[in-house]
Amino acid sequence: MIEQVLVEDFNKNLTLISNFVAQNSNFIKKEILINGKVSAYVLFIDGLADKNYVEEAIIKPFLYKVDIDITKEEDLYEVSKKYLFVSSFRLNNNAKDVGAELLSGKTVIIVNGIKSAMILDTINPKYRDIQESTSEKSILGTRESFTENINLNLTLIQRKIKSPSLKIERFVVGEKTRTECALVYLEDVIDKELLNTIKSRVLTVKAPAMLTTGVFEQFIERRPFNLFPQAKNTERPDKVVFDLLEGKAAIFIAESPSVLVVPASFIEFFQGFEDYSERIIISNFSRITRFLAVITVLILGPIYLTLLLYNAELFPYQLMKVIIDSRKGIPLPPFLEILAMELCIEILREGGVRLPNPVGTTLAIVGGIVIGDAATKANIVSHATLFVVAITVVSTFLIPNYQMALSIRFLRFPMLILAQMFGFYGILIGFYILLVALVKLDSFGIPYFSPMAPSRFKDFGDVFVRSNIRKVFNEPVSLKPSLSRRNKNE
Amino acid sequence: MKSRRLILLLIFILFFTGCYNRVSIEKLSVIVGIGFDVGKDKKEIENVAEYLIFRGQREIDRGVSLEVGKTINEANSNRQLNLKKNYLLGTVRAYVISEERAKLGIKDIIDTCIRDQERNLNTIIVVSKGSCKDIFEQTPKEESTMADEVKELIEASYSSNFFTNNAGVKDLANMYYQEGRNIVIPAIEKKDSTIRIAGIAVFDKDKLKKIIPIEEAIYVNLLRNYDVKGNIALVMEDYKKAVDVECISKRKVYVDKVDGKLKYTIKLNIEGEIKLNTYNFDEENNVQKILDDIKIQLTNNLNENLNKIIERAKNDYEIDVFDIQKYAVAKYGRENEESIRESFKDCEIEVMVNTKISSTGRYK
Repeated sequence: MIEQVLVEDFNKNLTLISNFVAQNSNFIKKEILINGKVSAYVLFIDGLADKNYVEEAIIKPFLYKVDIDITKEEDLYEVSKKYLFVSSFRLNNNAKDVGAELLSGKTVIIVNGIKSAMILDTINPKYRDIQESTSEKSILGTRESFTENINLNLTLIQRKIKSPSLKIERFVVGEKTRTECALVYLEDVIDKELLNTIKSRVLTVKAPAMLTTGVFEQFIERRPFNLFPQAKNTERPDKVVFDLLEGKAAIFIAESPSVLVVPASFIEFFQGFEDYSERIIISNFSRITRFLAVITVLILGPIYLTLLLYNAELFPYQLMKVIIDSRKGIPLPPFLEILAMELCIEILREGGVRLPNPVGTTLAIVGGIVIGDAATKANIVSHATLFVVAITVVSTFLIPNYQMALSIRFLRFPMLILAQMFGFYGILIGFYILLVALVKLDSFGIPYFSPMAPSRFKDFGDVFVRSNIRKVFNEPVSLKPSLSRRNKNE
Repeated sequence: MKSRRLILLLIFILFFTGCYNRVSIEKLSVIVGIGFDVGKDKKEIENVAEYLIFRGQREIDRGVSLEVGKTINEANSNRQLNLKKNYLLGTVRAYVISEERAKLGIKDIIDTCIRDQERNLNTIIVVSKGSCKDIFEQTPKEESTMADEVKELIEASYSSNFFTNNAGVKDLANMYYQEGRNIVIPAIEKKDSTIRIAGIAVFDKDKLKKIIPIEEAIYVNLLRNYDVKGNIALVMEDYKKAVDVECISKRKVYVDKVDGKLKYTIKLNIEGEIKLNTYNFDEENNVQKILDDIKIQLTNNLNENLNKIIERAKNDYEIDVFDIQKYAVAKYGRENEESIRESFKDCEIEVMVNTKISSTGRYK
């Protein structure tokens, strides 16, 4: 066990603290002489702390301005009051803590003869500027998106909610990374029971490292093998604010430009944030289009396959003529034909995700137009199948949430296999399993399929269609487990 | 553990079951029209089928095959002996029953069309004067197949001559099974290397009783159908002095017993729009006078023709073609159905025509 408590000898203190800080070249140990008599060390890590600021606001006053002898801790307070250009300052005598503070970008001063170290806030604020979100575009909403700076991210929320009940609980996760995290909620809105559930899972996370919100999500969710996202990742502060006002909690992770909102329900992944700023009828129209798109993604391919294989007589007559004609001479059976096309599209999509923009466009053109055209001309794929697959792919882009879009996109493969094996019956089985999985799932004690199951009619103002905005801003009953009938009876 | 076993079991079920041996759509033969006929000895039935042949590159041909069998489905099985592809019955666009076959009875056709769930209930069904082969072996002029032509012909007829749009298999079944009703379906004939509507075929139970020619069928339609459209021409001297009224008719039927005899009252509400008027149109004439005049003419014309057709139905067809006996059965009980059917000759049928001219077109 390494000794942790600081002593009077400042050289020994330096060794103690150095045990907890990696000895890299940017670990600056500057020795100074205060008032010509007392020796001291100014410790900071260049880059994490702002070097110019440390020199101007700390070292310079110590060298030129301080004219008192520092012999005890009170003198340090005196110095901070009279000479230092730093707003936040505290004393600590635990070498491990001091080491951690150094690693987070603070400056430490150890003075000979004093058992405590002076910790000054000099964190280098150089981060990426606030930019417009690239993955969640906004037309009418705010242009701001979160950055890697957790403090700035929290400020973005505080700027939008000026309520005394906005609580920010900070905690640290990751034994090695010591990542700073924050749990944010509105104390007077969030349900107490829900908050307890969230806290019990979030504040007790034990992980060797914490990198992004996506990783954090997997540490706090209950069903890691379920297909559906059980928490919502977002890059946009206005979305977080809206969720906080509904009674949810947000988890901020340092160095991660997205925020995790818990709990999540299935339906909210299909509600675009723009829906609330547009006219009721227009936004409902687009919302219904979105739901149709989801259904299209899931069943258009399987239904097409079923009709081709098992229930050809259900095709409208004229369409049947066209389809038979287009399938004449296609070597692949319908299932393999659709599957091949779908896989092809997935390969193109996966290839396009990480490509720089100009190359991505080329890929889209080559993949979408050239390959599609070549495949139909070579009589490998029929026009009708290409059309169906293309419609399915375009429909996936209508799902506003990226994670949910991935889940839904994946689901079309099992549905296709079921359709191939059992026809319409298979599609029904698929839907049934899907529904059971959705109803059975919960996110932090909140049923995932709420407010449909269990039915909370008060919340129906914002489900498949949204009603008047006044009703939308009501706090949803489904997010209040302590109000549920079952709990009341107990 | 239990759930794992269950999942394993499900996976096994999933991969070792399924609908195998199904052929995909392009390997099927699409039958578009079926004709029901009888052989010369009237013992075996003949089935004519018209099917599509896909040659690729948007080229679609048609073929006609005739099969003989003791029953409809035996004939179908025989067809598979020389047809190189499996076929679907759900794609049939039109059934055509030959006059000969209809006279012998169509009970089997009705039964199999309803029972066999592969067949579509909305398929058009008609009677043809002459054999079905004559109909299907013609070269289609406007559509790609003769079955399509039959279907289009019947569907186009809805907008004129007071035909109703109930010419599907399920309407036929309704007419057959519902109490106090008789089957009445459109009849077509081959004429000048194409087909045309020849009138309506009236059945007694499942046997064809008579094909009413189109001239009379118009008035029969007017009396039997609800909410139908047709043109009534009022010719005073010749075409230079005539009025055309496009009428939409709505009927109501009342039944009563007078002196122990059934009395049917058919109330027809005719709403007409003048489409042609060379009879009394003059800009200086009073509009109301013109209208009143036409109204009287129209009422008289309808009264005369309808009463004539009623007399003809009673004496010549000897069967309820107006679909009115169902009201009597409803009123006097299903146990009296037989006597109601038999009393058609002696019953009294009164027509009350109420006409209204709703529009005179662009001219006032």
